[in-house]
This record gives sequence, C-alpha cells and structure tokens, in this order.
Amino acid sequence: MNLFGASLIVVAGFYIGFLKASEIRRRVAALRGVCTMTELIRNEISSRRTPMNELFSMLQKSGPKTTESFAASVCDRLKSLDESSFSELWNESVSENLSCLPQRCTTALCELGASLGRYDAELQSAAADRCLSLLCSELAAEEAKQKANEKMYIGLCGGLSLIAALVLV
Amino acid sequence: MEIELIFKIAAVGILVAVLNILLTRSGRDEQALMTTIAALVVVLIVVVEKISELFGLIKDLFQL
Repeated sequence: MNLFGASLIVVAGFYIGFLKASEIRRRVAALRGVCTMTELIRNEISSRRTPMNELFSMLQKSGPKTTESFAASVCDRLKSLDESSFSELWNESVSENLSCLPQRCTTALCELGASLGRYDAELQSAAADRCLSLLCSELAAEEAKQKANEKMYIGLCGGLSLIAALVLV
Repeated sequence: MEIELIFKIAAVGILVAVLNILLTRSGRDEQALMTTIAALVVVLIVVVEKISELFGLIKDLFQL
C-alpha cells in the first residue's frame, strides 16, 4: 500500500507538470494563430477592402484553427452591431476566446479592435501592422522560453512529488 | 538509529540539489532558494522527533 501511495503521488506530480507544459504549448500555438490571423486581416483590408462580416466568415472557414472560435464569435456578434460598437464586440470576443494569451497581447488586440471598421483602409492597416509587430515579438519571446519552461515544469513537479512521496511514505 | 531515515534525508537532499540546478539554469534563482529552504524545513520537521528523543535520552543518562 505504501508503494502504491507513493507511486500515486509521483504520477500526480508528473501529470501536473505535463498539464503545465501543455498549457505553455497551447499558448504558443494560440499566439502563432493570432499572428497569422492579424496578418490576414491586414492583407485583406489593405488590398481588397473586405467588409468585416465577409472577412471574419472567411477567417472562420479558412483561417488558422486556433482562432476559429474567435472568428466565429466575432461573426455571431456582428449580427448585433447596431446595439454595440465593433470594438465592444471585438473586446468581448477577445476576452472570451483568447484569454490564454499574455496580457500585452490582449491589450494590443483590444487596441486593434478600436481601429477596425472605423477608419480608412490605410489607418486600419497601420493599426494591424503595429499589433502584428508586438504579437510577433511576444511570439518569439514565448517560443524561446517554451522549451526551457516545459522541461522545467515537468522536472519541478515531478521532483517535488518525489520528495513528498519520500517524506510521507 | 533507523537507517531508512538517513537514506530518506539523503534522497531528499539529492532531489533538492537537482531541482536547485534545474531552477537556477532556468533563471529562477529565487524559486530555487525557496525550494531549498522549504526542503530544509521539511527535513527538520522529519528529524525534530529524533532530536527530541536525543534530548530525552541525554536527560535520562545524566539524570538532569
């Protein structure tokens, strides 16, 4: 029984470590998807002057998989555009679907939402460029930290659970 | 004295040393220090009973 309890504690520790590591991986994948989506938005607005509803239904169907739910949420909320402004709809969708992103990225996305559908194509494109450069720098930083942090969390949680198993059992 | 306790403390010490290196290499020096101090406290808690027995034994031995 002692051995069983110790192995349960160790397995639980490693499982928590793996959960933390997968959360980091998910965040990097979401950030990558948001960068791609922002680039698509910029390109569509600057070259084709695509309307917002068409743009987001295109993103929902053929955009990055990680931002599919965000694009779908914006598409649904666009139906109530008369009651709320686009930036309010955009911010609600960001807080609902992209909460796993770092704070700086969600702030930059909210600032982008304040410009989309409001000003001319050049200004919207410039806002998208600013947002994209910040997102890309955050993505590079997260990717650099990803490998080290994944192994660190797995090792740390596993090690602490081993210590707990040794002391308690 | 139980040998198992010594092995337990040695194993905890080795694990803490490894965790310390892991955290220091990841740039988290404060967390490495916190882990070391926490492990030290845990080992002291484990050992405090034996220290108490030692003091009791000394008292009985010297009839203090």
